Amino acid sequence: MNLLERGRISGYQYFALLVITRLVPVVLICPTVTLVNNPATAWVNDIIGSLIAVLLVWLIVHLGLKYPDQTIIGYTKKLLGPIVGMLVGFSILWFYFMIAFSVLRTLGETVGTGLLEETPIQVFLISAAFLIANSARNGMEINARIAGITMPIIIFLLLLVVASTSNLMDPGYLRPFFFGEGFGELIWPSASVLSFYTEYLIIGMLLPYLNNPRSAMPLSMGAVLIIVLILVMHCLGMAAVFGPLFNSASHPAFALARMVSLGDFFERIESLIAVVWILGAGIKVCLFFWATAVGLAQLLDLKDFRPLAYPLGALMVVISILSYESLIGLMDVLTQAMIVYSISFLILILSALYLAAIIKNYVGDGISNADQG
Amino acid sequence: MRRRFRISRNSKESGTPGEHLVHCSLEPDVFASGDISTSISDNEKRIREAFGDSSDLSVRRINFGAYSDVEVLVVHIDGLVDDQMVIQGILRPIGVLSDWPALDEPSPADIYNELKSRLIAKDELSEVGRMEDLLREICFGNSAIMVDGHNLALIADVKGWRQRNIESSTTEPTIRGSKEAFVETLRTNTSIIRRRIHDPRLRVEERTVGAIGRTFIAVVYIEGVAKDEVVQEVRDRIDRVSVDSIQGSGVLEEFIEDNPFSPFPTVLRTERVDRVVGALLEGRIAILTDGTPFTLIVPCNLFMFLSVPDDYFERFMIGSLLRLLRLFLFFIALLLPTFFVAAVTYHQEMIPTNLAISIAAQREGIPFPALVEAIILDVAFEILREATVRVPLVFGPAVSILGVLFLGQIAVQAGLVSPFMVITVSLTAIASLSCPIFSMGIAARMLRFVFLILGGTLGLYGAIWGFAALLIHLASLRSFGISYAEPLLPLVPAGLGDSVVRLPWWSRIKRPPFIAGPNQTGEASGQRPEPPKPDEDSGPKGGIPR
Repeated sequence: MNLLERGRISGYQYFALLVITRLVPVVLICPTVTLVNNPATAWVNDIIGSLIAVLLVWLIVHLGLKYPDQTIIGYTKKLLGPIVGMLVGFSILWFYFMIAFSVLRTLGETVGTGLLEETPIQVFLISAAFLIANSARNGMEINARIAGITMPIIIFLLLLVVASTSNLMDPGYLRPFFFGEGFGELIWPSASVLSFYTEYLIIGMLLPYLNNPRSAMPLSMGAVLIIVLILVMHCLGMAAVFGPLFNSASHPAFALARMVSLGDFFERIESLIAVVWILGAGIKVCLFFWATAVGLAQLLDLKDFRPLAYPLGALMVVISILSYESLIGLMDVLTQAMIVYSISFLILILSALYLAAIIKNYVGDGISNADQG
Repeated sequence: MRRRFRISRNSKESGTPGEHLVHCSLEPDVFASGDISTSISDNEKRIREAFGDSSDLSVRRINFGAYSDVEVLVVHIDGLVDDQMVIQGILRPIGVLSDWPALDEPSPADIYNELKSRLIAKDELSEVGRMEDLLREICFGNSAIMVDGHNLALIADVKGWRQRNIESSTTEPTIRGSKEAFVETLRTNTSIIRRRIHDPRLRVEERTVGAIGRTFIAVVYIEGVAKDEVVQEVRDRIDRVSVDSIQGSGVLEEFIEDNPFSPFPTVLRTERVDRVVGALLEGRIAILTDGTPFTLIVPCNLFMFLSVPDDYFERFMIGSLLRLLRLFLFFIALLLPTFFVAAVTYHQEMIPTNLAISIAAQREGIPFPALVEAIILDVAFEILREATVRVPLVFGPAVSILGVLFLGQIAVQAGLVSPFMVITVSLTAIASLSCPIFSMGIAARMLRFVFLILGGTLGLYGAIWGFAALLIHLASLRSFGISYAEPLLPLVPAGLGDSVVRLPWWSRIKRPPFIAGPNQTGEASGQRPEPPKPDEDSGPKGGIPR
């Protein structure tokens, strides 16, 4: 199977891409928070969602490691046969593409509402998509390198925000730890946390380009672990600062950054956060866009994925405009329909692939061939 | 004499190195080609014709001895040879030998062999049989000796000409570094490097480039420290160059650099010896060009352009802080006016309130939008800078007085520009000039205008967009196969010790991992100075001995 891309990424870059992918919604919006009633219990959702995510990520990586020289598109075609494989492959690519244009739209909306209110959103979408298509066209190495320096900055800024709002925190807000409506109220927010981990289906595309594919398992688990720590810390910070107002802001994480004020001088950290978030969102869109382009080329047996970059980029802009009415609509989708869709989709895909792998293994031609190839 | 230029279109397809010299050259002369004739008069005529009676051609015919009528011809170019060496090493031995009775009735071949073993020059005497080779050797500053009746010529290396003294660098001054800078003569430059690296593994590979100019290019590296494939890449790229002449290393740079359309220089140009030696010890390769003090260093990365030799000679703390300052200055040179224009035009809420009010008060009555104002001032600064560099020394004060008066004072008083903009643009200008390597300052200055337009039209988003585009460009840029922004893009923790900061010398055990060849250990570990450990036997530990 032709990998269509000469680039290789190091373990650290793989790790950075995964962390950025998961942290991008957290840095600015933190969508889960809006679903929680009791601020004191919000962090429990993060832990529950991440624990289930560990299982899913393990399954994704484990499947990828069976075919370390193929992308998920490659072994989907191999396992499910030409017709079903084609359909499933398209649905996976659509999943990638959907994440790409959703994040692009979020980026455009955020810039439009936060920085330049009178400029039409198309300006941001088109200019960002142009840059992203260009970067993806030049291979994923470039994106991975930029991710490598952006990730530490994002984590540092998040830690800085939580640390420097500690003077505003009231531990009393964390106290009433109970589940008023029973444990059932944990389900929906935890599912929301989990739904963002379904984006780790991207591992299927990244894994064969890793310098040492065998290190994918510890790296992916490490990424989940780091993210859990940051999520819990961030969530506790927000709960302790905002208390009952916890879920009323539209951008709770951004609102937290806005509170930072040390000595009347160290202010405006939120504009720095905005800059880094825009970079991070660009990296995430670029990653999923690249996966769509390369995956599509592999699915259709094209010799090169680069001619697809600009058309797909134009398509991404158009669909991102048509799909959502506004930022409110986008948030509604992310916190409702997308949760159900993405989790069930991931479970379906994984069970189909595992089932096919087991059957092929039983029949005795699939995996042994793949290992040689 | 009619000469016709023939420029080849397919120089890249030429097979062996050296063959390209045939391309793009002058039509060969009838006099200047073919074998050397046995007749000395014939040879003399051909040489004179080839040089077209140039006045600096020095031809000396000597009758060899009392016992024969064989004549000897000595040819060289006056001014390219050391007069003393010609007299002592060539003319006097010929005179002494010709009176030597042992050579009774000598044949031309005997005389030739005798001369070959007796004449004195710097190197072994070489011999040529072709007229074009002979003419080329004369052009290089060698002396050619021919014997009547023999069809070979002796070439004696007696080069020697006036050259500039080794002086201190004017374009890259330092405080604690050495004062030596390179000169125009290649041999002197290689000797300066040799004087600092006393090891036979220092390789100096010479080649000539240019069909007419025949410029000497030396590729200098340390065997075992530099990566072999990078050295081979440098050789290949130099061998592909097929031009008339290389006048200055800048010409060569344009032929061998990686991305001609990048605003960033991917080849470092320096005249400082310590910079070149430091780069060689890291495993980089220096390309010396005859006729210019500016040496090229490849592969290079972004951070080399922001460092100066003083960083290494001062103690590491101030060295690191100055590095960070210079990185900060680079960003100021690139982005400060952009942020100012974006904030004033679109994001007034980002400026602290008091400052915003005073800026707004000053901008009252300024006829232009902030973007236009910034561009006007920036262009005015570029004009001033260009004028100060180019005007004859005597007019310099006039230019600076006019610039200060007009831009600093009158333009503000006339309400053409606001004082804050003047402050911003002047700070930016100073920052861009403070870049240690001039070519990197140029990159910042060019990109500043791009950023300015982005920031003036799309505000902070435009600046971020431009910055992302810059990151993408830097991440994809390479210098001789090595990533340009290496320790940061991609992140290589082991290389960070000598990029954004400079860690102490005793902590830099490895050479830069992405540059250096097979042997990466550059020094022994555990050399950090420490207080001596208290002796276990004598005296109470930690206390003052009584």
